[in-house]
Amino acid sequence: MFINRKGHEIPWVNSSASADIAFLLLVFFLIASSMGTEKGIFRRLLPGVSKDAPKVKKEIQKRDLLVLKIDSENRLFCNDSLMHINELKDVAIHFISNPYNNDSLPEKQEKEIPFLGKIPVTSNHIIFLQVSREAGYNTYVSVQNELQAAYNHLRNEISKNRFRKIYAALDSEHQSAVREVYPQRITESEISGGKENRVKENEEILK
Amino acid sequence: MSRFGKNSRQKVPSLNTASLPDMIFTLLFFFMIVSNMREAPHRLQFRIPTATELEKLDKESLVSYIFVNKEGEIQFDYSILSLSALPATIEQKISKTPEDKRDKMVVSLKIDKETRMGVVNDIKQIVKDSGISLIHFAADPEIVKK
Repeated sequence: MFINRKGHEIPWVNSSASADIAFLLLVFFLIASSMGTEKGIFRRLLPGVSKDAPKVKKEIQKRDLLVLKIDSENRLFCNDSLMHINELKDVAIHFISNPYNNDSLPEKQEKEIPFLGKIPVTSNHIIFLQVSREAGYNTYVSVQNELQAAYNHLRNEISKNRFRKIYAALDSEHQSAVREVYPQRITESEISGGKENRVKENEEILK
Repeated sequence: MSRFGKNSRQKVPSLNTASLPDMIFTLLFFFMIVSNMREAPHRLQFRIPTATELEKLDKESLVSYIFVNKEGEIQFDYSILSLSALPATIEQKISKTPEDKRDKMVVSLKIDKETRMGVVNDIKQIVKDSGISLIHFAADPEIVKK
């Protein structure tokens, strides 16, 4: 049966349809997929304290606190004075790092950190963000963005100094060491009709 | 010229299409690599805000999406629902996820930039109560003026 007799040609597989099959696959993937990568700002929500738990009153020193407020007309107040969003990054950087060990800025405590040794850290600083229910989401995101920019700036600075790399290029162990130097401590609360409603805490993301 | 003269013996040479499938496959692989599968279809119209300090969202399968438009209507994954129905729906989604992966779950909030913060805060509270601790505010990259 399979003897190649003289005069018989080897039959070819007709491949003219395979282009069409590949086209079908291509069209399917074009429809089913989206190109844009999804980007955004991460926040870690700390689990809420249950109502039965005993209330622990934590003394927060005034110097450790930066109060930000977004009112119903999307204005930003910093410690009760009106501020433009563009200024927030520098104010936050100054607050978090306290470069001159100022008495009115967060207290620095020496902390032993892997890879970095003893470093004075403003480990108790808290950025307290109060947002009105009537405020716009856009303002909220830009405030969060500026705060993130402040933390990123400081973290990049120390990683460039110590490891000659930007923060994002470090491996996870070094990243968590840098995060210990500048822990992200943002607390949020909601204002409705002038009254504070509840306190939510967002803290450092640990990926 | 004889070149343009009719010559009945000469055949029109056919185009060799043998490599056409290969080209299409190359295109196909390119798109498969660059793109990721579409998430839940958007039933609401919204425009997300812009920001500069963005991080990429990965681990696709562990991401749940919450869409909110200007009027405060909410879409969770595939269905439009009210704020009061949201906790139960999230609970359902969590129970479908294997237990060892639950702490890696992320909620991505795609919220219109003109939405009031009241709704956003309520959703954040619900997400927090449900036990998912990582949220992601979706935003488009902003062109930085220098």
